[in-house]
Amino acid sequence: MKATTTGTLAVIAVAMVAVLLVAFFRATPVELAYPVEQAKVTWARRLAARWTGLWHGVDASVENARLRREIASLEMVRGELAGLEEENARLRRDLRFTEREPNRWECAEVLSEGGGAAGARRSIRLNKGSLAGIREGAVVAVPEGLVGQVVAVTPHTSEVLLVTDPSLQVACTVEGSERIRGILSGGTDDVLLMRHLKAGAEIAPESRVLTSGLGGVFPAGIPVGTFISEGNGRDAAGRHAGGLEREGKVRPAVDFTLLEDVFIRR
Amino acid sequence: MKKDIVQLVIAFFTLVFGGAAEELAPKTLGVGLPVLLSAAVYFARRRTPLVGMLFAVAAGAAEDALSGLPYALSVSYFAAVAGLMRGFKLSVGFAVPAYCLYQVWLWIWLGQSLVGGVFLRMLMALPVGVAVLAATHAALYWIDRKAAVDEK
Repeated sequence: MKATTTGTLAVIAVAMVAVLLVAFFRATPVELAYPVEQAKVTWARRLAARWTGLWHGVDASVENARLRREIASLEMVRGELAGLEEENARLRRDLRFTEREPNRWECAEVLSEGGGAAGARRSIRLNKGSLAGIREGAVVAVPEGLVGQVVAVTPHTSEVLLVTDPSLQVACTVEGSERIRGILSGGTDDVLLMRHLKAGAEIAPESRVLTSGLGGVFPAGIPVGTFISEGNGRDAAGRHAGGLEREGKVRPAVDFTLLEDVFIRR
Repeated sequence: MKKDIVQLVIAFFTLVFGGAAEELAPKTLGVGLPVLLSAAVYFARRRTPLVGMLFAVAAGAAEDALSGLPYALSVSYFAAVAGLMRGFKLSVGFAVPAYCLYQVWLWIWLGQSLVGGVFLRMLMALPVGVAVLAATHAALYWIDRKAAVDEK
């Protein structure tokens, strides 16, 4: 009996050590490559800034002054919003509404396309990780729309699975009178697929597609893309979807090739 | 002893810069630059069997971590390639078909979630594999010569 207990404890201990070792070594290669990637991104940006400054020096100083004014005005708006947020929270408390977590967005630089040589998934690597409070599952977006979701975190970096990857599924609604719901996932490079759309509902082309907030992963109201057209009525495996459900094609709101800075929801 | 340390340093920096190069390189149809696989093949040919195998495992682990792949998916493949290289005394050119077959290996494990079609990926892997193999081997051979650690 005693030998059995000792054996079980030994197995658990070995398993725990193995898990710790795997977790440690998993982050190590990414952390080792991080300084090289960060240096490349920093220098590329500096060189681009110098080059731009060289040829557009006057324009740049004018734009700089304009941006400073814009920042100052946004600071004013932010102050007003803080007051409104406080008032909103107080009223929600008075009305006994559920407390809502405010969205806090952390800005991060895109280091690389990520994905190593295998490139098995559509992803990007960012220069913020667990040390900056980023956790797995965090939502990543830019002002234009949804970028994806954090799937792996190391102390200094995080890997983001793009919304164009077939394995990432997002609950969405099509903006319009009926607010039709569906599940959006990656298709080909340029087009996303929206499945499980209600049959019979009219969807106007060029309608905006937004996150619905269902499922609790992605907050509601983030733009994802524009509804282009109905699909061929077949699902991912090529089976006919039948008369109850249908699918549509959606053009992403974000140009993923031009991403330089993104925002991570904390 | 000194030679061992030099070999270790070369292996370490190959992993760091190889990994960073793979991350930073653009990917066509999802196919990136197989720097780590090429380096594993080089080490399998030009180091002792133990060092070659250890480097293949380390390179595979780095590939898995960088690519966000399931544990040991690349480790097992890289180790198998290094083992075959040693066992059958294959030439370094084996890295090219090995990289093409790596696409099939990924497809077996990842299925529909693999970016790009497997045949297009294999097709793309051919020229990319040849170019990266040549560049990696030239660079590592030059470093080995300079550091005087070439065992061949």
